[in-house]
Amino acid sequence: MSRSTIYSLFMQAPALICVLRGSDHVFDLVNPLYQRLFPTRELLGKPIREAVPELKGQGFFELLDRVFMTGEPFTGRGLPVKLDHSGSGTLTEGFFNFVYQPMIVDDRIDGVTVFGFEVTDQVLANREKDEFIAVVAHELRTPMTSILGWVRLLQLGDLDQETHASALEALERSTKAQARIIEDLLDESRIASGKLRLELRPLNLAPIVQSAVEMMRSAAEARKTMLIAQITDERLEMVGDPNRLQQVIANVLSNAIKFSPDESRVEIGVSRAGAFAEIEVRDHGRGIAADLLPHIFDRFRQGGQAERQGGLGLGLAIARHLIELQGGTIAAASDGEGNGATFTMRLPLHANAAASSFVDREPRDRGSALPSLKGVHILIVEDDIDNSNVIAAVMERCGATVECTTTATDGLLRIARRQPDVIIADIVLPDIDGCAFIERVRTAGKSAGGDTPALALTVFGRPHEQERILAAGFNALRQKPIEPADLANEVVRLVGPGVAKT
Amino acid sequence: MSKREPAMLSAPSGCQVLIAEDDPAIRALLVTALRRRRVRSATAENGDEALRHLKKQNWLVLVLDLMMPEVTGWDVIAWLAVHPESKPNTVIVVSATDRALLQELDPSVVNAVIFKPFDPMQLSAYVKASCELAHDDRRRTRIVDAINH
Repeated sequence: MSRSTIYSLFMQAPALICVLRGSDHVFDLVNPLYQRLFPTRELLGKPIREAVPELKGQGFFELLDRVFMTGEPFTGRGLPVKLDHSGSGTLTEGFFNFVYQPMIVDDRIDGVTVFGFEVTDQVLANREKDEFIAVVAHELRTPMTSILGWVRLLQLGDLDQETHASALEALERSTKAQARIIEDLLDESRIASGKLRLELRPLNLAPIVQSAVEMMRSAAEARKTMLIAQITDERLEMVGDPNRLQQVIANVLSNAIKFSPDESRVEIGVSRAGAFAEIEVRDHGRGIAADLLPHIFDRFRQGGQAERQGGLGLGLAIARHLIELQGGTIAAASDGEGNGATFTMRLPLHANAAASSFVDREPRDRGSALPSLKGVHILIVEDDIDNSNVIAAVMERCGATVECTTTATDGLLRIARRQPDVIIADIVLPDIDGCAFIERVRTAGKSAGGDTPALALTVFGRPHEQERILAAGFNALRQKPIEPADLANEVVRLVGPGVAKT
Repeated sequence: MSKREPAMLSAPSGCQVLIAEDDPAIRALLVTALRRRRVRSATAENGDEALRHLKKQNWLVLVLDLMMPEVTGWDVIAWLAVHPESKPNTVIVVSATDRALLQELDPSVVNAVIFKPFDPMQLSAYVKASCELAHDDRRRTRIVDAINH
């Protein structure tokens, strides 16, 4: 290779390259990427100690000396380097992979070639990821401690009635907290990969706000915080995803409660502001520092260690994304620390959404009365025995008769023996996939139970999974963990009003 | 559960175990596990409340969570390091932080670190044993004092 070829290779290389000559390491060649580290500095012809004095005390001069003296190359990976890029006296830390390669001319060491890559972004991303995993582990362990601990105490079997009840309450709350963390993680991953889908339909905002308020009622009571809702317009018609809207409003309320002192007040106001519905959530907590305010919708931001209040730090980032996907905005304001905070969400109203097409969303009532499934025979195909037991217990409580099996093959045999009124099947089964199972059920004739309504249980939340499950022949699907009342109501819907004998 | 908490906040008389933990379910869990071993305990919902309890009386055992809002468990440890007269005989830290990530805690203050999730009955056994040990120590000190006088 000619000298000029090597030279142009050096100059165009997507790496930092420089040649330092002599025992003083004088810059003899500097490629553009290397020069870009020091845009305002003349390096050529100067010894490195003079040209880059800020490296003193960071160990690199000594390394260069050693490479020059011994002829042994040095490779550094992800090493931190503090540089004064602008020449203003402020040092910025960056991370580099690099090689100090001695140059031998006539058996003599002539100088050192530096060849490196900046890996600051990768190192910081990795660090952020590690910190995030640590936070996730911490957040999952807290409810886990309560779950395992209370189960241990319940196993002793001698708790008084009051403690027993509060143990069950703690178990429910902790399990839901864990489910929420997992939902948030999945939402975050869906947002990151652009796969988050909304189920848009015409809706009325007022009852959705109302049910979000009800959802947060017990959390507020636990902090002796008053939750005051003022809905000045009961008919705020728009197109949106009711579940996601409720999730966002509940999330903002939950933050307001979390960052409020005990015996405080959280207000939520809903009103019409021109072509928009405006939801304002105001708390009287410690407020948000001015320097943090612009970042609160970023992922993983929650203030410093002392301000950490539990949670993944994903909630508001997800909230903003969900609101923006529905054409709205969310903003935060605070008069500084100690003065509370106000979150304002604006969502476009939809005048054309005909009143007749409106289905007011029922508030999700927890622990509501179970419907009757008297006389309904249900086949449950689920390999997780605990899950299967829970479903069976719920169905039996509704008056249904239940048959359980853990494999699809056995499920098919049982259908042949006795046709159920409804099939509830897990998607992940030990022998064949739940979708393959239902396909086989459907190939049988009507008389052999081929048209039995079937409900899939899935842990997959992804839209294409849902399509696959419904295309295979299931009539409906529910995501785990299941809500007993919701599952029972879905079964009622599937069997139709005629079957259940009330 | 919240409605019953205020009663626990003021230390019952003769109570010598303090639990500082911000998670209400874990707090109630510890109280219940200790009660089963006939050990009465007082609770603090955050570091600030823990400090107030520590200033008010001497405690045999402190069970201390680290990640608490405002005044953290680390702050409590730092305060105890400069107020040794208020240091309980045994300080047990309970932490949900990863074993590998938890930096060393001041050994002059902290006697043990228990990682979450933990077995509440084991922890309560440890707390009870620490109480009994501390009682013995105090009795011994009193005897030594009596001899010296």
